[in-house]
Amino acid sequence: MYIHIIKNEWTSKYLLQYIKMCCLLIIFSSCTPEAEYIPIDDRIGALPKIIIDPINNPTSPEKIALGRALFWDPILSGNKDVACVTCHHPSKGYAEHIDLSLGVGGRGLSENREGGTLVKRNAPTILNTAFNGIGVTGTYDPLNTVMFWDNRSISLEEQSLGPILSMEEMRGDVYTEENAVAIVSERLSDIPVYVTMFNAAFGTNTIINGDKISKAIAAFERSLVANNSRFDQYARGNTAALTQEEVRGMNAFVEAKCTACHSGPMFTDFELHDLGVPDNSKLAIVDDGINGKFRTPSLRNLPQTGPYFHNGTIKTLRDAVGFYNRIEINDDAARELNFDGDMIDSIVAFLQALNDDDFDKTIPESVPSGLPVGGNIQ
Amino acid sequence: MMKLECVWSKQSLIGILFLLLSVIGYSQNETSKFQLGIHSGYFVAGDFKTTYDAMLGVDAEYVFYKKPKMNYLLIGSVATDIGGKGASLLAINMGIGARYDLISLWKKPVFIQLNVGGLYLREQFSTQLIKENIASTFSEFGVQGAVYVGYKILRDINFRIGVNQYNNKGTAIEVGVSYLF
Repeated sequence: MYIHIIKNEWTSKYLLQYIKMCCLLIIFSSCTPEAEYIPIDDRIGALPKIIIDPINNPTSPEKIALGRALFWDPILSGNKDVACVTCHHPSKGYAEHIDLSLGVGGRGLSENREGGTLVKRNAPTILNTAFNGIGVTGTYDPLNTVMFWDNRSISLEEQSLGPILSMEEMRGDVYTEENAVAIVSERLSDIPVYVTMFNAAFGTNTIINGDKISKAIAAFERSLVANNSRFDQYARGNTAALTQEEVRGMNAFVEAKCTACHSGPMFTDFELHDLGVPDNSKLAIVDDGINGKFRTPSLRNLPQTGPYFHNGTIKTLRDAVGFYNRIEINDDAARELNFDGDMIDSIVAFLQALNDDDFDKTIPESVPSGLPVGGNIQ
Repeated sequence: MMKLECVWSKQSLIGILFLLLSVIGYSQNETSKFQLGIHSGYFVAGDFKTTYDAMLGVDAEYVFYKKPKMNYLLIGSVATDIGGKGASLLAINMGIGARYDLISLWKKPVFIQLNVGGLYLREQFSTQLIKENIASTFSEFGVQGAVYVGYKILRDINFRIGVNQYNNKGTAIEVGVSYLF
Protein backbone atom coordinates (compact mmCIF):
# COMPACT_ATOMS: atom_id res chain seq x y z
CA MET A 1 0.00 0.00 0.00
CA TYR A 2 2.79 2.36 0.97
CA ILE A 3 4.71 1.48 -2.17
CA HIS A 4 1.57 2.02 -4.22
CA ILE A 5 1.09 5.54 -2.80
CA ILE A 6 4.74 6.39 -3.41
CA LYS A 7 4.37 5.01 -6.88
CA ASN A 8 1.43 7.29 -7.66
CA GLU A 9 3.18 10.33 -6.25
CA TRP A 10 6.33 9.57 -8.17
CA THR A 11 4.38 8.83 -11.30
CA SER A 12 2.31 11.99 -11.25
CA LYS A 13 5.26 14.16 -10.23
CA TYR A 14 7.61 12.87 -12.88
CA LEU A 15 4.96 12.63 -15.53
CA LEU A 16 4.62 16.37 -15.10
CA GLN A 17 8.40 16.77 -15.28
CA TYR A 18 8.43 14.65 -18.39
CA ILE A 19 5.82 16.82 -20.05
CA LYS A 20 7.86 19.88 -19.09
CA MET A 21 10.89 18.27 -20.63
CA CYS A 22 9.03 17.63 -23.88
CA CYS A 23 7.96 21.26 -23.99
CA LEU A 24 11.52 22.42 -23.36
CA LEU A 25 12.76 20.13 -26.08
CA ILE A 26 10.41 21.70 -28.59
CA ILE A 27 11.24 25.23 -27.39
CA PHE A 28 14.93 24.48 -27.53
CA SER A 29 14.73 23.11 -31.03
CA SER A 30 12.68 26.11 -32.14
CA CYS A 31 15.55 28.53 -31.56
CA THR A 32 17.25 29.74 -34.69
CA PRO A 33 20.72 28.23 -34.59
CA GLU A 34 23.58 30.61 -34.16
CA ALA A 35 25.83 30.85 -37.19
CA GLU A 36 29.39 29.77 -36.59
CA TYR A 37 31.69 32.78 -36.55
CA ILE A 38 33.82 32.94 -39.66
CA PRO A 39 36.82 35.30 -39.85
CA ILE A 40 36.12 38.04 -42.38
CA ASP A 41 38.85 36.86 -44.75
CA ASP A 42 37.35 33.37 -44.88
CA ARG A 43 33.81 34.40 -45.73
CA ILE A 44 31.98 33.84 -48.99
CA GLY A 45 29.40 36.05 -50.64
CA ALA A 46 27.74 37.31 -53.78
CA LEU A 47 29.56 38.85 -56.69
CA PRO A 48 28.94 42.55 -57.28
CA LYS A 49 26.44 43.47 -59.97
CA ILE A 50 28.73 46.19 -61.28
CA ILE A 51 32.14 45.68 -62.87
CA ILE A 52 35.02 48.07 -62.24
CA ASP A 53 36.84 49.21 -65.38
CA PRO A 54 40.50 50.16 -65.20
CA ILE A 55 41.18 53.88 -65.32
CA ASN A 56 43.20 53.59 -68.50
CA ASN A 57 40.72 51.35 -70.29
CA PRO A 58 37.12 52.48 -69.81
CA THR A 59 34.71 50.16 -71.51
CA SER A 60 32.46 51.03 -74.43
CA PRO A 61 30.21 49.02 -76.74
CA GLU A 62 32.60 49.69 -79.62
CA LYS A 63 35.58 48.43 -77.66
CA ILE A 64 33.70 45.29 -76.59
CA ALA A 65 32.62 44.65 -80.20
CA LEU A 66 36.22 45.00 -81.37
CA GLY A 67 37.49 42.77 -78.58
CA ARG A 68 34.88 40.15 -79.45
CA ALA A 69 35.94 40.20 -83.12
CA LEU A 70 39.59 39.78 -82.13
CA PHE A 71 38.69 37.04 -79.63
CA TRP A 72 37.06 34.97 -82.38
CA ASP A 73 39.55 35.77 -85.16
CA PRO A 74 42.48 33.40 -85.84
CA ILE A 75 44.33 36.29 -87.49
CA LEU A 76 46.02 36.75 -84.12
CA SER A 77 47.88 33.42 -84.46
CA GLY A 78 51.01 32.70 -86.45
CA ASN A 79 49.46 30.14 -88.80
CA LYS A 80 46.05 31.85 -88.65
CA ASP A 81 44.54 28.66 -87.29
CA VAL A 82 44.00 29.38 -83.59
CA ALA A 83 41.84 32.06 -82.00
CA CYS A 84 41.38 32.87 -78.34
CA VAL A 85 38.02 31.13 -78.54
CA THR A 86 39.63 27.92 -79.76
CA CYS A 87 40.44 27.07 -76.15
CA HIS A 88 37.87 29.35 -74.46
CA HIS A 89 34.62 28.52 -76.26
CA PRO A 90 31.26 29.76 -74.93
CA SER A 91 29.72 26.31 -75.40
CA LYS A 92 32.33 25.08 -72.92
CA GLY A 93 31.85 27.86 -70.40
CA TYR A 94 34.65 29.87 -72.04
CA ALA A 95 37.02 27.05 -71.12
CA GLU A 96 37.34 23.65 -72.79
CA HIS A 97 36.54 20.11 -71.73
CA ILE A 98 40.00 18.60 -72.16
CA ASP A 99 42.80 18.33 -69.64
CA LEU A 100 45.48 20.16 -71.59
CA SER A 101 44.88 22.51 -74.49
CA LEU A 102 45.96 21.62 -78.01
CA GLY A 103 47.19 24.83 -79.59
CA VAL A 104 48.95 25.48 -82.86
CA GLY A 105 48.17 22.96 -85.62
CA GLY A 106 45.21 21.39 -83.86
CA ARG A 107 41.82 20.67 -85.42
CA GLY A 108 38.43 20.44 -83.78
CA LEU A 109 36.90 21.86 -80.63
CA SER A 110 37.48 20.82 -77.05
CA GLU A 111 37.17 17.04 -76.52
CA ASN A 112 36.99 16.56 -80.30
CA ARG A 113 40.23 18.43 -80.90
CA GLU A 114 43.15 16.45 -82.32
CA GLY A 115 46.75 17.15 -83.18
CA GLY A 116 48.30 20.44 -82.35
CA THR A 117 50.95 21.47 -79.90
CA LEU A 118 50.32 20.41 -76.35
CA VAL A 119 49.94 23.30 -73.94
CA LYS A 120 51.15 22.45 -70.45
CA ARG A 121 48.13 23.73 -68.52
CA ASN A 122 44.36 23.43 -68.53
CA ALA A 123 42.54 26.38 -70.09
CA PRO A 124 40.71 28.21 -67.28
CA THR A 125 37.40 29.91 -67.92
CA ILE A 126 37.36 33.57 -68.86
CA LEU A 127 33.96 34.04 -67.23
CA ASN A 128 34.14 36.46 -64.31
CA THR A 129 37.84 37.19 -64.78
CA ALA A 130 36.63 40.80 -64.62
CA PHE A 131 36.45 40.19 -60.86
CA ASN A 132 39.91 38.68 -60.45
CA GLY A 133 41.55 40.11 -57.38
CA ILE A 134 38.28 40.90 -55.62
CA GLY A 135 38.38 40.50 -51.86
CA VAL A 136 35.69 40.11 -49.24
CA THR A 137 35.18 43.88 -49.14
CA GLY A 138 34.22 43.83 -52.81
CA THR A 139 37.01 46.18 -53.81
CA TYR A 140 39.72 45.43 -56.33
CA ASP A 141 42.04 47.17 -58.74
CA PRO A 142 41.64 45.72 -62.25
CA LEU A 143 45.14 46.96 -63.11
CA ASN A 144 46.77 45.25 -60.17
CA THR A 145 45.35 41.76 -59.90
CA VAL A 146 46.45 38.26 -60.89
CA MET A 147 45.93 36.17 -64.02
CA PHE A 148 46.94 32.70 -65.23
CA TRP A 149 47.57 29.61 -63.10
CA ASP A 150 50.85 31.07 -61.82
CA ASN A 151 49.71 34.67 -61.30
CA ARG A 152 52.26 35.91 -63.82
CA SER A 153 50.08 38.71 -65.24
CA ILE A 154 48.57 41.54 -63.28
CA SER A 155 45.62 42.51 -65.48
CA LEU A 156 43.34 41.31 -68.25
CA GLU A 157 45.10 43.83 -70.49
CA GLU A 158 48.48 42.23 -69.84
CA GLN A 159 47.12 38.71 -69.93
CA SER A 160 45.39 39.09 -73.29
CA LEU A 161 48.69 39.29 -75.20
CA GLY A 162 50.17 36.23 -73.47
CA PRO A 163 48.72 33.56 -75.79
CA ILE A 164 49.67 35.61 -78.86
CA LEU A 165 53.29 35.44 -77.73
CA SER A 166 53.19 31.76 -76.78
CA MET A 167 54.61 29.35 -79.33
CA GLU A 168 52.38 26.49 -78.16
CA GLU A 169 49.15 28.40 -77.90
CA MET A 170 48.98 30.72 -80.93
CA ARG A 171 52.30 31.97 -82.34
CA GLY A 172 53.82 28.73 -83.60
CA ASP A 173 57.19 29.15 -85.25
CA VAL A 174 56.02 31.61 -87.89
CA TYR A 175 57.71 34.55 -86.20
CA THR A 176 59.64 35.26 -83.02
CA GLU A 177 58.08 36.20 -79.72
CA GLU A 178 59.65 39.65 -79.99
CA ASN A 179 58.05 40.29 -83.37
CA ALA A 180 54.68 38.69 -82.65
CA VAL A 181 52.69 41.72 -81.56
CA ALA A 182 54.11 43.96 -84.28
CA ILE A 183 53.29 41.43 -87.02
CA VAL A 184 49.77 40.85 -85.70
CA SER A 185 49.25 44.63 -85.54
CA GLU A 186 50.36 44.94 -89.17
CA ARG A 187 47.97 42.21 -90.20
CA LEU A 188 45.08 43.98 -88.50
CA SER A 189 46.06 47.34 -90.00
CA ASP A 190 45.73 45.81 -93.47
CA ILE A 191 42.08 44.88 -92.87
CA PRO A 192 39.76 47.87 -93.42
CA VAL A 193 37.03 46.54 -91.18
CA TYR A 194 39.48 46.34 -88.27
CA VAL A 195 40.77 49.86 -88.99
CA THR A 196 37.20 51.12 -88.78
CA MET A 197 36.53 49.19 -85.59
CA PHE A 198 39.74 50.39 -83.90
CA ASN A 199 38.88 53.99 -84.85
CA ALA A 200 35.40 53.55 -83.37
CA ALA A 201 36.82 52.10 -80.18
CA PHE A 202 39.85 54.33 -79.61
CA GLY A 203 39.27 57.44 -81.76
CA THR A 204 40.01 58.35 -85.34
CA ASN A 205 43.41 57.64 -86.92
CA THR A 206 44.25 55.19 -84.17
CA ILE A 207 47.50 53.34 -84.65
CA ILE A 208 46.83 49.66 -84.17
CA ASN A 209 49.35 48.24 -81.74
CA GLY A 210 49.68 45.78 -78.90
CA ASP A 211 48.31 48.23 -76.36
CA LYS A 212 45.08 48.74 -78.31
CA ILE A 213 44.71 45.05 -79.10
CA SER A 214 45.13 44.10 -75.47
CA LYS A 215 42.71 46.74 -74.25
CA ALA A 216 40.01 45.70 -76.71
CA ILE A 217 40.32 41.99 -75.87
CA ALA A 218 40.38 42.83 -72.15
CA ALA A 219 37.23 44.96 -72.51
CA PHE A 220 35.45 42.02 -74.15
CA GLU A 221 36.67 39.55 -71.54
CA ARG A 222 35.54 41.96 -68.84
CA SER A 223 32.02 41.81 -70.31
CA LEU A 224 31.84 38.02 -69.84
CA VAL A 225 30.19 37.98 -66.47
CA ALA A 226 28.06 35.34 -64.77
CA ASN A 227 27.24 36.91 -61.43
CA ASN A 228 23.69 35.80 -60.78
CA SER A 229 24.06 32.19 -59.72
CA ARG A 230 21.51 30.78 -57.30
CA PHE A 231 24.09 31.24 -54.57
CA ASP A 232 24.41 34.93 -55.49
CA GLN A 233 20.63 35.26 -55.27
CA TYR A 234 20.68 33.52 -51.88
CA ALA A 235 23.46 35.74 -50.56
CA ARG A 236 21.51 38.79 -51.71
CA GLY A 237 18.58 37.71 -49.55
CA ASN A 238 16.48 35.26 -51.58
CA THR A 239 16.69 32.33 -49.18
CA ALA A 240 14.48 30.21 -51.44
CA ALA A 241 17.16 30.23 -54.13
CA LEU A 242 19.06 27.29 -52.64
CA THR A 243 17.71 23.84 -51.91
CA GLN A 244 18.03 22.11 -48.57
CA GLU A 245 20.90 19.97 -49.84
CA GLU A 246 22.70 22.99 -51.27
CA VAL A 247 22.42 24.91 -48.00
CA ARG A 248 23.66 21.82 -46.19
CA GLY A 249 26.55 21.70 -48.64
CA MET A 250 27.29 25.38 -48.07
CA ASN A 251 27.46 24.80 -44.33
CA ALA A 252 29.67 21.76 -44.87
CA PHE A 253 31.89 23.80 -47.21
CA VAL A 254 32.36 26.39 -44.49
CA GLU A 255 32.61 23.83 -41.70
CA ALA A 256 35.30 21.90 -43.54
CA LYS A 257 37.30 25.12 -43.89
CA CYS A 258 37.35 25.00 -47.68
CA THR A 259 37.05 28.76 -47.31
CA ALA A 260 40.63 28.94 -46.03
CA CYS A 261 41.51 29.22 -49.73
CA HIS A 262 38.18 29.38 -51.58
CA SER A 263 36.87 32.58 -50.01
CA GLY A 264 35.37 35.88 -51.12
CA PRO A 265 32.87 36.43 -53.92
CA MET A 266 35.06 34.54 -56.40
CA PHE A 267 35.67 31.65 -54.01
CA THR A 268 39.43 32.07 -54.27
CA ASP A 269 42.13 33.82 -52.32
CA PHE A 270 44.07 34.29 -55.59
CA GLU A 271 47.12 32.91 -53.78
CA LEU A 272 49.51 30.16 -54.86
CA HIS A 273 49.25 26.79 -53.10
CA ASP A 274 50.89 23.40 -53.43
CA LEU A 275 48.30 20.64 -53.16
CA GLY A 276 50.37 17.88 -54.64
CA VAL A 277 48.14 17.46 -57.68
CA PRO A 278 49.35 14.41 -59.66
CA ASP A 279 51.39 15.13 -62.77
CA ASN A 280 49.72 14.84 -66.14
CA SER A 281 51.37 11.92 -67.90
CA LYS A 282 51.00 13.66 -71.27
CA LEU A 283 53.68 16.14 -70.31
CA ALA A 284 57.28 15.15 -71.00
CA ILE A 285 58.54 17.67 -68.45
CA VAL A 286 56.87 18.04 -65.07
CA ASP A 287 55.12 21.38 -64.70
CA ASP A 288 56.25 22.67 -61.33
CA GLY A 289 54.40 25.99 -61.43
CA ILE A 290 56.00 28.37 -58.94
CA ASN A 291 57.92 25.99 -56.66
CA GLY A 292 55.13 23.49 -57.02
CA LYS A 293 52.43 26.05 -56.38
CA PHE A 294 49.49 27.11 -58.51
CA ARG A 295 46.80 29.69 -58.00
CA THR A 296 43.60 28.77 -56.19
CA PRO A 297 41.01 28.64 -58.98
CA SER A 298 37.59 30.20 -58.70
CA LEU A 299 34.81 27.72 -57.96
CA ARG A 300 32.24 29.50 -60.10
CA ASN A 301 30.71 27.78 -63.13
CA LEU A 302 32.50 24.54 -62.34
CA PRO A 303 29.98 22.22 -64.03
CA GLN A 304 30.84 23.89 -67.33
CA THR A 305 34.59 24.14 -66.92
CA GLY A 306 35.96 20.69 -66.06
CA PRO A 307 38.31 18.84 -66.02
CA TYR A 308 39.87 20.34 -62.93
CA PHE A 309 43.13 21.56 -61.43
CA HIS A 310 45.98 23.19 -63.35
CA ASN A 311 46.69 20.16 -65.50
CA GLY A 312 43.16 18.82 -65.83
CA THR A 313 44.00 15.48 -64.24
CA ILE A 314 40.79 15.32 -62.20
CA LYS A 315 37.85 14.64 -64.49
CA THR A 316 34.72 15.13 -62.43
CA LEU A 317 33.58 17.64 -59.88
CA ARG A 318 32.94 14.87 -57.37
CA ASP A 319 36.47 13.57 -57.79
CA ALA A 320 37.81 17.11 -57.47
CA VAL A 321 36.11 17.51 -54.11
CA GLY A 322 37.08 14.00 -53.07
CA PHE A 323 40.68 14.77 -54.01
CA TYR A 324 41.04 16.59 -50.69
CA ASN A 325 40.27 13.36 -48.85
CA ARG A 326 43.10 11.33 -50.22
CA ILE A 327 46.05 13.51 -51.10
CA GLU A 328 49.08 14.24 -49.02
CA ILE A 329 48.65 17.97 -48.73
CA ASN A 330 51.80 20.07 -48.76
CA ASP A 331 50.09 23.38 -48.14
CA ASP A 332 49.56 24.85 -44.66
CA ALA A 333 46.05 26.12 -45.33
CA ALA A 334 44.93 22.94 -47.04
CA ARG A 335 46.41 20.77 -44.31
CA GLU A 336 43.97 22.22 -41.83
CA LEU A 337 40.99 21.00 -43.80
CA ASN A 338 38.47 19.25 -41.62
CA PHE A 339 37.23 17.12 -44.46
CA ASP A 340 34.80 14.29 -44.01
CA GLY A 341 34.09 11.90 -46.84
CA ASP A 342 30.36 12.07 -46.20
CA MET A 343 30.40 15.77 -47.00
CA ILE A 344 31.30 15.27 -50.65
CA ASP A 345 27.80 14.95 -52.13
CA SER A 346 26.51 17.96 -50.24
CA ILE A 347 29.49 20.10 -51.17
CA VAL A 348 29.17 19.11 -54.82
CA ALA A 349 25.50 20.10 -54.71
CA PHE A 350 26.48 23.48 -53.29
CA LEU A 351 29.22 24.01 -55.86
CA GLN A 352 26.72 23.38 -58.63
CA ALA A 353 24.63 26.21 -57.22
CA LEU A 354 27.54 28.55 -58.02
CA ASN A 355 26.82 28.01 -61.70
CA ASP A 356 25.28 30.85 -63.70
CA ASP A 357 24.39 29.85 -67.23
CA ASP A 358 23.28 33.33 -68.25
CA PHE A 359 26.26 34.66 -70.19
CA ASP A 360 27.01 35.59 -73.79
CA LYS A 361 27.04 32.38 -75.84
CA THR A 362 26.53 33.99 -79.24
CA ILE A 363 28.82 32.95 -82.06
CA PRO A 364 29.62 35.50 -84.79
CA GLU A 365 28.79 34.48 -88.34
CA SER A 366 32.12 35.82 -89.60
CA VAL A 367 35.24 37.64 -88.47
CA PRO A 368 36.77 40.69 -90.19
CA SER A 369 39.75 38.74 -91.54
CA GLY A 370 37.45 36.37 -93.42
CA LEU A 371 39.22 33.40 -91.79
CA PRO A 372 37.22 30.53 -90.25
CA VAL A 373 35.40 31.78 -87.15
CA GLY A 374 37.31 30.58 -84.10
CA GLY A 375 40.10 28.99 -86.15
CA ASN A 376 40.23 25.32 -87.04
CA ILE A 377 37.54 24.20 -84.64
CA GLN A 378 35.08 22.64 -87.06
CA MET B 1 18.73 37.25 -25.52
CA MET B 2 17.56 34.40 -27.69
CA LYS B 3 20.94 32.74 -27.32
CA LEU B 4 20.73 32.90 -23.52
CA GLU B 5 17.27 31.39 -23.53
CA CYS B 6 18.47 28.56 -25.71
CA VAL B 7 21.43 27.81 -23.45
CA TRP B 8 19.19 27.83 -20.39
CA SER B 9 16.77 25.47 -22.10
CA LYS B 10 19.50 23.05 -23.06
CA GLN B 11 20.93 22.91 -19.56
CA SER B 12 17.49 22.46 -18.06
CA LEU B 13 16.72 19.74 -20.50
CA ILE B 14 19.81 17.74 -19.67
CA GLY B 15 19.26 18.28 -15.95
CA ILE B 16 15.71 17.04 -16.09
CA LEU B 17 16.77 14.04 -18.14
CA PHE B 18 19.27 12.97 -15.50
CA LEU B 19 16.76 13.60 -12.75
CA LEU B 20 14.20 11.50 -14.52
CA LEU B 21 16.67 8.70 -15.05
CA SER B 22 17.72 8.70 -11.42
CA VAL B 23 14.25 8.36 -9.99
CA ILE B 24 12.16 6.30 -12.32
CA GLY B 25 13.74 3.11 -11.08
CA TYR B 26 11.85 3.41 -7.81
CA SER B 27 8.46 2.82 -9.26
CA GLN B 28 6.78 -0.54 -9.56
CA ASN B 29 3.94 -1.75 -11.72
CA GLU B 30 2.77 -5.09 -13.03
CA THR B 31 0.30 -4.09 -15.71
CA SER B 32 2.03 -1.34 -17.62
CA LYS B 33 0.30 0.06 -20.67
CA PHE B 34 2.17 3.33 -21.00
CA GLN B 35 5.83 3.88 -21.56
CA LEU B 36 7.77 7.13 -21.47
CA GLY B 37 11.39 7.26 -22.47
CA ILE B 38 14.36 9.18 -23.61
CA HIS B 39 16.70 8.26 -26.40
CA SER B 40 19.78 9.48 -28.10
CA GLY B 41 21.12 8.60 -31.50
CA TYR B 42 24.33 8.99 -33.41
CA PHE B 43 24.12 9.54 -37.15
CA VAL B 44 26.12 7.01 -39.10
CA ALA B 45 24.90 7.65 -42.65
CA GLY B 46 22.90 10.02 -44.80
CA ASP B 47 22.68 13.75 -45.32
CA PHE B 48 22.13 14.41 -41.64
CA LYS B 49 25.53 12.92 -40.85
CA THR B 50 27.08 15.81 -42.78
CA THR B 51 25.46 18.37 -40.52
CA TYR B 52 24.72 16.77 -37.17
CA ASP B 53 26.49 14.48 -34.78
CA ALA B 54 23.70 13.19 -32.61
CA MET B 55 20.04 13.43 -31.65
CA LEU B 56 18.41 13.60 -28.23
CA GLY B 57 14.72 12.95 -27.82
CA VAL B 58 11.77 11.83 -25.79
CA ASP B 59 9.27 9.18 -26.73
CA ALA B 60 5.95 7.78 -25.56
CA GLU B 61 4.34 4.44 -26.26
CA TYR B 62 0.92 2.99 -25.52
CA VAL B 63 0.09 -0.71 -25.71
CA PHE B 64 -3.25 -0.91 -27.48
CA TYR B 65 -3.30 -4.67 -28.02
CA LYS B 66 -1.55 -7.30 -26.00
CA LYS B 67 -0.81 -10.97 -26.60
CA PRO B 68 1.28 -13.26 -24.41
CA LYS B 69 4.58 -12.41 -26.13
CA MET B 70 3.57 -9.64 -28.49
CA ASN B 71 2.61 -6.05 -27.78
CA TYR B 72 1.18 -3.69 -30.37
CA LEU B 73 1.97 -0.06 -29.76
CA LEU B 74 1.05 3.46 -30.63
CA ILE B 75 4.21 5.51 -30.59
CA GLY B 76 5.24 9.14 -30.68
CA SER B 77 8.56 10.89 -30.32
CA VAL B 78 10.19 14.29 -30.46
CA ALA B 79 13.90 14.66 -31.02
CA THR B 80 16.37 17.42 -31.68
CA ASP B 81 20.00 17.54 -32.66
CA ILE B 82 23.04 17.89 -30.45
CA GLY B 83 26.16 19.49 -31.82
CA GLY B 84 24.89 20.84 -35.13
CA LYS B 85 27.02 23.83 -36.09
CA GLY B 86 24.99 26.59 -37.68
CA ALA B 87 22.10 24.19 -38.02
CA SER B 88 19.34 22.63 -35.96
CA LEU B 89 17.01 19.71 -36.56
CA LEU B 90 13.62 18.86 -35.10
CA ALA B 91 12.04 15.48 -35.80
CA ILE B 92 8.51 14.61 -34.67
CA ASN B 93 7.31 11.09 -35.27
CA MET B 94 3.96 9.30 -34.81
CA GLY B 95 3.28 5.73 -35.77
CA ILE B 96 2.77 2.18 -34.69
CA GLY B 97 5.05 -0.51 -33.43
CA ALA B 98 5.25 -4.13 -32.44
CA ARG B 99 7.30 -5.60 -29.63
CA TYR B 100 7.99 -9.31 -29.40
CA ASP B 101 9.57 -11.06 -26.45
CA LEU B 102 12.31 -13.29 -27.82
CA ILE B 103 13.77 -15.00 -24.80
CA SER B 104 13.91 -14.65 -21.08
CA LEU B 105 17.22 -13.69 -19.52
CA TRP B 106 17.49 -13.69 -15.72
CA LYS B 107 13.71 -13.90 -15.67
CA LYS B 108 13.35 -10.70 -17.70
CA PRO B 109 12.48 -10.56 -21.39
CA VAL B 110 14.80 -9.72 -24.24
CA PHE B 111 12.61 -8.23 -26.94
CA ILE B 112 12.76 -7.01 -30.48
CA GLN B 113 10.73 -3.98 -31.50
CA LEU B 114 9.81 -2.61 -34.88
CA ASN B 115 8.40 0.89 -35.35
CA VAL B 116 7.08 2.60 -38.46
CA GLY B 117 5.33 5.90 -38.81
CA GLY B 118 5.04 9.35 -40.23
CA LEU B 119 7.70 11.93 -39.64
CA TYR B 120 7.86 15.71 -39.61
CA LEU B 121 11.31 17.20 -40.07
CA ARG B 122 12.31 20.79 -39.71
CA GLU B 123 15.84 21.99 -40.34
CA GLN B 124 17.14 25.47 -39.70
CA PHE B 125 20.44 26.73 -41.04
CA SER B 126 22.29 29.90 -40.25
CA THR B 127 25.42 30.81 -42.18
CA GLN B 128 27.81 33.71 -41.84
CA LEU B 129 28.35 35.25 -45.26
CA ILE B 130 30.37 38.33 -46.11
CA LYS B 131 27.70 40.89 -45.38
CA GLU B 132 25.35 39.15 -42.97
CA ASN B 133 24.11 35.95 -41.42
CA ILE B 134 21.52 34.27 -43.58
CA ALA B 135 19.03 31.83 -42.08
CA SER B 136 16.97 29.23 -43.92
CA THR B 137 14.26 26.89 -42.71
CA PHE B 138 13.20 23.70 -44.47
CA SER B 139 10.25 21.56 -43.40
CA GLU B 140 9.13 18.27 -44.82
CA PHE B 141 7.04 15.20 -44.07
CA GLY B 142 8.31 11.70 -44.54
CA VAL B 143 8.49 8.27 -42.97
CA GLN B 144 10.47 6.86 -40.11
CA GLY B 145 11.32 3.28 -39.37
CA ALA B 146 13.22 1.79 -36.52
CA VAL B 147 14.23 -1.61 -35.26
CA TYR B 148 15.47 -2.19 -31.73
CA VAL B 149 16.63 -4.96 -29.51
CA GLY B 150 15.80 -4.34 -25.88
CA TYR B 151 15.94 -5.75 -22.41
CA LYS B 152 13.77 -5.14 -19.40
CA ILE B 153 16.57 -4.25 -17.03
CA LEU B 154 14.19 -3.56 -14.12
CA ARG B 155 10.55 -4.36 -13.66
CA ASP B 156 9.57 -0.95 -15.01
CA ILE B 157 12.59 0.02 -17.03
CA ASN B 158 13.30 -1.00 -20.60
CA PHE B 159 16.63 -0.48 -22.27
CA ARG B 160 16.89 -0.67 -26.05
CA ILE B 161 19.44 -0.22 -28.81
CA GLY B 162 18.78 -0.16 -32.51
CA VAL B 163 18.75 1.63 -35.79
CA ASN B 164 16.46 4.54 -36.60
CA GLN B 165 15.95 5.71 -40.17
CA TYR B 166 14.82 9.32 -40.62
CA ASN B 167 13.09 9.41 -44.00
CA ASN B 168 15.86 9.26 -46.64
CA LYS B 169 17.96 11.78 -44.78
CA GLY B 170 19.75 9.96 -42.04
CA THR B 171 20.43 6.67 -40.30
CA ALA B 172 21.15 6.75 -36.60
CA ILE B 173 22.32 4.18 -34.10
CA GLU B 174 20.06 4.80 -31.15
CA VAL B 175 19.93 3.87 -27.48
CA GLY B 176 17.02 4.57 -25.19
CA VAL B 177 15.62 4.00 -21.74
CA SER B 178 11.90 3.86 -21.00
CA TYR B 179 9.79 3.91 -17.89
CA LEU B 180 6.67 1.74 -17.88
CA PHE B 181 3.60 2.59 -15.88
